[in-house]
Amino acid sequence: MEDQNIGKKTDEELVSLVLEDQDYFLYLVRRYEQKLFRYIARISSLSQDDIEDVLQDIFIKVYKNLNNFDTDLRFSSWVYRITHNEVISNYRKYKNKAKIISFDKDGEFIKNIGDELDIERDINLDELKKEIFSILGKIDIKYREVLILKFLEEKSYREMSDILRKPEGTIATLINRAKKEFLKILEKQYEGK
Amino acid sequence: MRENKLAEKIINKIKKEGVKPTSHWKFVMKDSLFWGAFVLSIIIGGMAISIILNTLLNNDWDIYMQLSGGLSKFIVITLPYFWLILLGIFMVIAYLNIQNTKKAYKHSFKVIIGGVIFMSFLLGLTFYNLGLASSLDKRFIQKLPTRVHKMVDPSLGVWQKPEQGFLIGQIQTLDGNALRLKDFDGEIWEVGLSEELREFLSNFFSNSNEKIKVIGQLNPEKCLKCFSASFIRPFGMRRTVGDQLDKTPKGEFQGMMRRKDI
Repeated sequence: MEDQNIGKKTDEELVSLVLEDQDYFLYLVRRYEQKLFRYIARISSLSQDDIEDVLQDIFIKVYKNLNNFDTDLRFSSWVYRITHNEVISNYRKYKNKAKIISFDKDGEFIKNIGDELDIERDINLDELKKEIFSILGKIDIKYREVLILKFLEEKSYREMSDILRKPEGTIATLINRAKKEFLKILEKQYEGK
Repeated sequence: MRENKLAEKIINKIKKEGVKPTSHWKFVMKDSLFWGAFVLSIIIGGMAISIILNTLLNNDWDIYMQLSGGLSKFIVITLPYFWLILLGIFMVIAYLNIQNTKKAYKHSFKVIIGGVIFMSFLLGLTFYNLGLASSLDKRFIQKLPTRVHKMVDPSLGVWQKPEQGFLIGQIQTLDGNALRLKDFDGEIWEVGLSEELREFLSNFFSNSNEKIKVIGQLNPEKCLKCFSASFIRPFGMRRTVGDQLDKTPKGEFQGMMRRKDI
């Protein structure tokens, strides 16, 4: 296999190749393992070892279900959907293992969500960062997940609809509710100070 | 690098455990099963709607005052609850099945449930117009044991009032002008018939065990369980038979009810 040629192939073309020769699956795994690793870390706050275990299960599920991949979807949406299902169905189990949410390298996220929620600028950026991490740790998983998909993974409404298997209208409603919930917790935290 | 190690670990695991992609036909089969269950639920829902329509349209609206004393009471006691519940159950089953198909998530709950209701109603109307409901009523529902039949069609209960001139039951024998009828409480009644009614009954009912509704009056002079029939309302194919009965001037029937001060 020539890595250079493989790099030019779309996910969907790679899927067809994997179905003919399982060795090509390595390239699909490489394309997505970092993205999915980060996504799982963001929604579940698991340790690196635990995330790797979860990722293994997810990729094996992806491989087993390749024949069920709907080409009307983007492959990335399909893979994120499987990841979402795996994390949500085992959320109780993962919750007990969860550590503090870490978004150390997600400065862009702070900016995105700060702009979106119109959080007052007089809040110190470091302080805001601390608050945002703390709130995301407290917020309900269904809201945390849409905030992460929208502001961190930067998914479109359509992609979010495909990942979460909900109509786009419901996604919009969930995002609005998540923002309100986020602000409510933020205000409470400031009132308490 | 950690990621390369992980990718290779996954590939090795797949190879070692001999993991294979599940065959395409298994997914097609699974999807078809959900669609099949959805279609079946819609068909059953449609049948329930056609029977509900048949029951409501052929309900005894013309004599609701005499049967129950008021329209709202008549509606409450004669609504086909069994079919309404069955319809509700199969609509939920249809919804759950369609939700499991590949693209259903793109549509909102309102759109899906609206579609399910619309399809069931359309099918129900079609079944009703094709005469399926009256055929089912005649061929299947009427054959149910009396207790079950009363549960399925609560409108029958209001006919079990011989002292008010309403009798309902199953034909035991028809001998000359004497009809033996077993009511829903298991009592046997001797029902006196006019020549016209006897002729109608012997032509219409090929064998006993058919269920009929009778309007008339008690005949205590003859015996304790004797009843004189003025009108007969058969079950099933009500419209056809009803047409024959409707030839009797309505005014006369209503007048009779008034005269009896029911």
